Amino acid sequence: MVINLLLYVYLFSCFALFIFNLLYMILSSFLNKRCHQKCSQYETQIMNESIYLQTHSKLSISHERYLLKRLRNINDLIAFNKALDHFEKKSVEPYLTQLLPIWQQLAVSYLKKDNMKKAFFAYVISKHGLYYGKEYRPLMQLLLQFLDHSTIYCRENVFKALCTLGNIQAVENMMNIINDKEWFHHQKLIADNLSVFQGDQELLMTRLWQHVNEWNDHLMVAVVQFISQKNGNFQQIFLPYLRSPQTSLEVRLAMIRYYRLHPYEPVREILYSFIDDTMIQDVSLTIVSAFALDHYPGNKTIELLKKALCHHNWYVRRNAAASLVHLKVAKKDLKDIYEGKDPYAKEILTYMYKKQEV
Amino acid sequence: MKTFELFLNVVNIFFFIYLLLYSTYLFVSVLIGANHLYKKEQMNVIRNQLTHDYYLPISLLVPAYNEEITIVDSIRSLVNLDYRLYEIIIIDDGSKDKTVQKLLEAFNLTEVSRPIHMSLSCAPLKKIYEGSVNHVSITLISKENGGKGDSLNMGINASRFPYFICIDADSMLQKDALEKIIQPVMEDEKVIAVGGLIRAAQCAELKDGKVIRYHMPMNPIVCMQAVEYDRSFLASRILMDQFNGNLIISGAFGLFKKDIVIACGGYDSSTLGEDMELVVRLHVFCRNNLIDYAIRYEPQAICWSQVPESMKDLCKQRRRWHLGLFQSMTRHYKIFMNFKFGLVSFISYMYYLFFELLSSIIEVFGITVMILSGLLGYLNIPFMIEFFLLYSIYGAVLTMTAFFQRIYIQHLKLTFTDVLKAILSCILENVFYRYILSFVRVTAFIGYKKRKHVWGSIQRYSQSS
Repeated sequence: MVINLLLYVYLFSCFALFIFNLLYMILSSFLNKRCHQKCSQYETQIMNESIYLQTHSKLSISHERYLLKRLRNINDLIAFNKALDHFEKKSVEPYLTQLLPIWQQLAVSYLKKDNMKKAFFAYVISKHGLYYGKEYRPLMQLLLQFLDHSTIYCRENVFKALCTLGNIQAVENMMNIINDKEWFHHQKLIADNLSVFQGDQELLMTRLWQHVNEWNDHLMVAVVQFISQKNGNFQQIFLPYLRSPQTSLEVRLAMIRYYRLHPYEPVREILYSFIDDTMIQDVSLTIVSAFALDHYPGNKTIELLKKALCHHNWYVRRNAAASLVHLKVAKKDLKDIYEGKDPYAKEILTYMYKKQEV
Repeated sequence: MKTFELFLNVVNIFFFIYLLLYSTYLFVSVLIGANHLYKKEQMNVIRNQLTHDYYLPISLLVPAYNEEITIVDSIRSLVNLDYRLYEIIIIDDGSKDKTVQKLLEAFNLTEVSRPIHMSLSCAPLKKIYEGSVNHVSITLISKENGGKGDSLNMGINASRFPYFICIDADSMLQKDALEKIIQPVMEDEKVIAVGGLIRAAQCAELKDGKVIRYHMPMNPIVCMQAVEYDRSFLASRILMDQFNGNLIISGAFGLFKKDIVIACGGYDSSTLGEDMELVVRLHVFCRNNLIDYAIRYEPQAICWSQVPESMKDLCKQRRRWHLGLFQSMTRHYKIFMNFKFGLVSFISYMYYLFFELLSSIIEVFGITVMILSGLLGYLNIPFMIEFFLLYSIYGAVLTMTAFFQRIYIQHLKLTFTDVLKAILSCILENVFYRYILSFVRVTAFIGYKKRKHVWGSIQRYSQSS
């Protein structure tokens, strides 16, 4: 009896799950169709308002009210976002400029919603927001408030939105929060987001670098990577940090890569000291220095790279060989290696040169 | 007779608890799986994603043994992925057919004398060839035969990037598969491995890495595997992912952090289930060394892999899987009832032990008791038939739920005939297929010593028509 009852209870639950799935699918396809219709409506409205803005300085009050009322609903925001996607950003720029007060009011209402919805709101700002000037606006503060108890997606979209809005203080605050809360946000994501910052990037670099002694290594590596992509003016600033063993290893490695992209003569001796295996240091410094030295031609460079070909670490040998090839050192100048006793050095060098020839 | 009745009562209670636990597990896993996928779907719609132009560089390792039929198509599909920086390393494990020649002809590879950093031991190297297609570097390593794990170790040694993905030579990745499988790594620095979703390649037609048609083939063996894969990947793996408890990342498609795999000794070439063994070892290694880690499952990273088309090949494959499971479970027996391993021990290990490894023995034991009871007149045949039918319907409906949800989430379209075929496959899978496989698993140990180091070969079919 008990078994029978249990069997039927399980079977009922199982069918209930199946029916739930079916209903979900039907509801989703209905919502998709609705979204499509709404999207067309919004497209028409955006076009009409863009025409209206040619003769007026502000959006029509009715449209403003409509947006404020409707866009509080996530499905409407999805449709509105899709409608905006259909236009080239430049062609609707006057319209987007007028949206700022609406975004601000909507941000207040999205602040009360769950993380997924907050993340989407931030995504819409990142995509259709504009650089509204240097001023620190309430919208930025509201976006930062989205970060309380947030998910990684929410953080990412808020970060992107702040970079689109282009305010240095807001981005700095965001990074301060990531640092203080000890959140993991991949350095690659941070560096990529910073590189599309819409405001004054030069000033942003300087401001972010000022936190070198406050922020964790992770954030600082991202900052150095961002600077590396954009600017060669930090050569002098980075130098003492590269020299100092107190600077974290990851940051120093990022700096060596920076100096490869933006060669700076005073750093040459430091790179030489890193590749010199008589000095006691982390082997990662030697590996990356062997890689960076291909941008520092000279006899001593060649001598040190040749010596590095016999290093105990495989990656040092490989990078040294690659650098010698990039420096276009003639094979006759490497005779001592080819005729030497180290078969590994000979092997890696032969391979790199052949690869270059191919 | 009283003793036999007592024995039957004990058996009854055991099977009642066993089936109740399994049914509950199946239900909970499909429920959680469905919930997870709907949430993911919603997250995609409202852009809760980490979308960037470029992520982290990845090495794709493709071990191959006698894969002349599929290898060129597979590699062609791999050079057109939506991902900025990756390399492909094909490791030919001493094939006896024309695998190497086919690759050399198709991709214009040239022999090089590239030194390889042998961090992991593996069988001797014969030759290395290099080339590139669509700016993707291709390396072909020809080595002495040593098994799949050994080939993967060679691939790890030759790889240049910090993350590697192992892919079967008969598999094809969806265009966005790399972008999806790297997402958990971008989300959490603790992630050391990510498993992707495996689906039956015979059901899909791919063009430029995109599914242009999904259908249920005529072969019922393939259809049943298709629905079985969807249930197990939808349900079980998502459930175990909730508590970092996945013990398997399929060898057909999985991403690993290279340094930690090297630190724990790479793939074990002496086991048949090198994929499972590595994941279990990663759990053991990280827990023993107090490394904060996560092993994740990403159902949106999709790989289409050929499944066996004949019963003979299917039996061969499942025997290998079962032996692999046995080797992994026995080699890491210390996980059993060990508080240090938390839920990995008390849910994952227990599940694999009782519902995978021992299930075939339990099922055969049950059938034996049933026959014996029938002979002695203790069997309530109407109840038995009713129970069997209800249990089969239960399993079939859950499989259907998993299958159709997957079809919906991936925006695939099925014809009416395909829907019928799918429903029929779900029923047959629960009524016949699983019992046949139980028998195969029970007999897996026959000839175990002979087979324990050899590649599993199944009949391959070219993907290009």
